[in-house]
Amino acid sequence: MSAAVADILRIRRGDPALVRVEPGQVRIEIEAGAEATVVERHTHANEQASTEINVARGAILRHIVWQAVPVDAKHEHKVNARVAGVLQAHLLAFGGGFARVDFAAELEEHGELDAYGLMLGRGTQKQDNRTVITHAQPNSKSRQLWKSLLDDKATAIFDGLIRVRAGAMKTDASQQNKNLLLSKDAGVLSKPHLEIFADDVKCAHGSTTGQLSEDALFYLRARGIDEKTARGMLADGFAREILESIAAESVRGEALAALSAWLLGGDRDGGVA
Amino acid sequence: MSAVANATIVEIKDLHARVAGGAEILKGISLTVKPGEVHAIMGPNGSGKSTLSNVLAGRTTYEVTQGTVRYLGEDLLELDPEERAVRGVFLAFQYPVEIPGVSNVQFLKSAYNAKRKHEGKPEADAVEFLTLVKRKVKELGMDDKFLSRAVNEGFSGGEKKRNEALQMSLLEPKLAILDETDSGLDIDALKAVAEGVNRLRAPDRAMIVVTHYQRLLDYIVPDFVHVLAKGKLVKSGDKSLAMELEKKGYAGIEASA
Ligand SMILES: Nc1ncnc2c1ncn2[C@@H]1O[C@H](COP(=O)(O)OP(=O)(O)O)[C@@H](O)[C@H]1O
Ligand SMILES: [Mg+2]
Repeated sequence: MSAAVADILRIRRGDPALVRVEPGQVRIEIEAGAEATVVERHTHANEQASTEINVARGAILRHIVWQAVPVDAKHEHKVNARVAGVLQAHLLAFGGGFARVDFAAELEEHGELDAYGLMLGRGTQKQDNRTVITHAQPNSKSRQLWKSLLDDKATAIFDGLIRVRAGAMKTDASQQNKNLLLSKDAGVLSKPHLEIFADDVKCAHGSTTGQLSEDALFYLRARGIDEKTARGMLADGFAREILESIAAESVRGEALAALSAWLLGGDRDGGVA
Repeated sequence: MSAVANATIVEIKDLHARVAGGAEILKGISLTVKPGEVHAIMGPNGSGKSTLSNVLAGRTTYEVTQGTVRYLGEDLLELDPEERAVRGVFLAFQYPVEIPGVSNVQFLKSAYNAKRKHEGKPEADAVEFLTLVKRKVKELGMDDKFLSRAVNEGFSGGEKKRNEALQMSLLEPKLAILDETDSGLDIDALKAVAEGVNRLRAPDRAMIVVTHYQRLLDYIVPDFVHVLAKGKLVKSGDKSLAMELEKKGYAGIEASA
């Protein structure tokens, strides 16, 4: 069976600023002069979800993938972006028993990418996020900030590759991966890679994995905040940075509320209303 | 005598403590603090001042190996840190902790409402709370900006100590323990923080003011001064003892003790 031919979402100057699309085989093209936010909310498991993105020079796209499929399901999503303008990408991996995202972006001259990832896991959830950012031409810029928040026996993989092609001088690339383990049985595999074939480039990357700070926990408790609430506040404080960077206010609010619900443990499927 | 005057806020008897598995740090401390009193504990670095402060606040890094602490009729050592806090024990930290991503106002509101809840009072709503906290912020010569910033994150030493004073003024403790509140403060911040503390002095409250230097005690005048050396209170007196320490240094006092 062949996949259905994707409908193409073409965004032109003057189109609505916020668009919600059904996930599946998605294609997004945004023209010069246009600016929009596109939200893909994945609520049904799909092992072949894909999104193709083309951001023309002079266009600004904010793309938000909110994955909230059932926590016993397998879900796979491939995102491929070609960026001559500006792309801000949010990949929120909240649900799924096994959920994998392959995010690839190729940056053309003066292209800019700001990519944020947040992986949540509890129980035996496995989150797997892989990024390949290719700086194909000179003067492009990429920023990646990826976080994972893992409880119980949940695990996550962050595998991030930054590639700088020969001739892509003045590339400015950075990648940060931060992981917070709420239980001693949770685990994370963080694998940053750099492949640099050009001179005169800036590439920074870093990765940290830790537990809740005992000092911070005691500080909150010493002010009367009970231990469970204090742990929740600290975990929320760790993760919310990713969600606060969502520009669309309504989506940001929903995402922060979903994080709070997740922290309370009452919402097993990652925030599907 | 009134009931208040008879009551004891905290009674520490023969308290011994160590870092779990380590050598003893507190080696038999006894101290009784009554309502309205301000006790200063002075001692050189490493004498155990922060250990005592943290043991009273309930930090589990420290293990109490001997002795008792009664607080308003309860066994303090049986209570979790948050249970102590809502009952009115307040530790102003020597090193306030930075908490990224948690806004100061949210933190203050959670602390304030935890106490209200314990007292059986309804939680303060957002508007009510903001009005109150903004008044306190002003009293301490702070800026409203403090409220929206993350707890202590990127605060200067003085800002952190003012933030401790703000929390104290909001939570109105029965027993305030100030651990080196003067360290890292310029004179303006010291005065602002001391004024905040003095505003809280009341017949039904008590304070333990821990300090290395006598300077703070010019602003927060104590009723009693105790000298802590090597985990023991070696000398007690009134505020003239602080002056004596200033002149002779700790070596002199330890030798004459
Ligand atoms: N968490 C800890 N781990 C190991 N040693 C500690 C710890 N806390 C305090 N100590 C030791 O206990 C002694 C007293 O420390 P502290 O109570 O911080 O003294 P002060 O506050 O009077 O400077 C010091 O020798 C210090 O090294
Ligand atoms: Mg100390």
